[in-house]
Amino acid sequence: MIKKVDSFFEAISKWGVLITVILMLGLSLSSIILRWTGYSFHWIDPLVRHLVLIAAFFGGSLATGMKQNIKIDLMSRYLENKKLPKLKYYLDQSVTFFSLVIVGFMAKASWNFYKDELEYGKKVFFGIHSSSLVAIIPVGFILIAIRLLFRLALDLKDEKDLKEGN
Amino acid sequence: MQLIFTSLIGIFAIFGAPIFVVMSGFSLLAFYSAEIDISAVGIEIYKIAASPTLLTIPLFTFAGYLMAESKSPTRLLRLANALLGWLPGGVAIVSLVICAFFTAFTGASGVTIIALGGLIYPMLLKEKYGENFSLGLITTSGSLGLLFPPSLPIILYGIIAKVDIDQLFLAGIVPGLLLIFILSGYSLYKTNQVTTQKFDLSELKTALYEARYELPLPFIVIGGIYGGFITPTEASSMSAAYVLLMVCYLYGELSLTKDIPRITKDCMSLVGAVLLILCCAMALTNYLVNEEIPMKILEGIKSVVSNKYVFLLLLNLFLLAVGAMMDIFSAIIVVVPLILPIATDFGVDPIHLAIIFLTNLEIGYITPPVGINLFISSFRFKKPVIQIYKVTIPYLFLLLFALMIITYIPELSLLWQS
Repeated sequence: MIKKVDSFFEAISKWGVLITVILMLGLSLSSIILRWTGYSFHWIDPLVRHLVLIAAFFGGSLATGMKQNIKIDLMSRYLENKKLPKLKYYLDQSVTFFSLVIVGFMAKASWNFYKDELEYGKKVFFGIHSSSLVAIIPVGFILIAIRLLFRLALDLKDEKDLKEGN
Repeated sequence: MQLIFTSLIGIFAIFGAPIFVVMSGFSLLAFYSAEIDISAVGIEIYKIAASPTLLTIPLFTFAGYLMAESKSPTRLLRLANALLGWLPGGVAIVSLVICAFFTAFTGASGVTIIALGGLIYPMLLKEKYGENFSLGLITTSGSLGLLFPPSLPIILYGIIAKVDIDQLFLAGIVPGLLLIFILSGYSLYKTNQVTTQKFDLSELKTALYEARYELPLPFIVIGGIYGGFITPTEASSMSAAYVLLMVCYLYGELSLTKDIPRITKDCMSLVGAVLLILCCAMALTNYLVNEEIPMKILEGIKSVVSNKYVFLLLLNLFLLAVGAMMDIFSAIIVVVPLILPIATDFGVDPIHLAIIFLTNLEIGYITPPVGINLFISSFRFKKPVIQIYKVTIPYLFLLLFALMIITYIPELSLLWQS
């Protein structure tokens, strides 16, 4: 069940990032062509930059799911080389838990920013309110927090299965 | 209390917490300690969306990944071999040139060693280069193109340091060629007992025809930007669109529906990881800059060092240590805002500083214990990492020699400006 729900979020991130890349590519190309023909739409550039921000969070969610986030891997590698799998497991789990707490705080911090923007923001381009754009950040952090939560649960389940198997 | 939390975050960083989490933790703690509402962290992150060159990061990397997954490496290797293979040490030189080209496009993410290692390694062995020489060459080449356009670290540096990316692209060319030249010289020195092939015009024609669709790419990027036709951001979207067209339709090697979603996922997980660090570290570095931390460090340094050249030597030692411990993206995002004002005060040109910085981090890729290329090579060629440590040592010294030249002859980096 946990695996299925995690796969659902994985699929959202994968297709989300694909659509975002296609949109970024399509919009930026049309911007060049329009410029060459003497036209321009002022909303394309800011929209594309916000798409990059969306892509960053989808990509971050994918990296979290695949355990491919950039990190200083000294201790984990050391434990792997020393063949201490149990200690490595507890270390990895505590790191995931710590990451979850910090990402949770980041979601909260950016949610506060979103609420402020909702109150004091304005319409920017294409009739979009600035708060909707700011919302990318808390939603993105919530997505990553969900992936971390599932990773924690899945690793816990794997450990349990391993013990039962033994 | 602040010390406890700082230590806790530091400990988790060593334990392997993602860098973006570490940066977030430090940002939250910094703002909280300064009694600033933590929503300021969100505001700082959002500032990234105002960066006009942000789009270049995902699109150039996307283009590089598409090429690495197609048969482009084989075609370009054949072309380079036909062009340069007849030279003494030609095959090794070909390997250096092709790896530099691919690293420039894929952002030294390890893709070069993975994509090209399997092609180059047997080629070098066939030409009777020793196993250790070949392994060392490929491991070193995995980050060799970092100074060439449109490398991801150069773009990232430009965004962080607020330096024109097109100027940085130009500044890296001569120092980048110097690195290839020095390593080629070493290959030539090691080539005594190695066979050399004959120049074959018909092979060159065939290789040129085979790689006919790849050939316009450098002209789109470099010619487009410096011809004044397109901006770096536009060059990134044109490159990505052209490479997509090339691999899916002109060569027909990748399927739009089967391969592209998979490649996009792989590429964007790297880009996402980098951009997340960029977002989360922005809050921390902006806080540090607002608190005038670099100025305080500068005062400390100036009390000990007053000579520019001594400062540059110390800077290199510091950056080598950073490069050996941190990945290149985190290092750029965290360290650049701190050292930029200090180096400027010592009279170091920001463009020159960029090239010194990136060369140091390029060396960091092959510096034990955690240089990432060492592990990728160990994994790719199924060799113990200790063996990879040993075989890269001569290359490490050669690159350090090149670093000294780049550091103390700023004209190499500033040639195009003057």
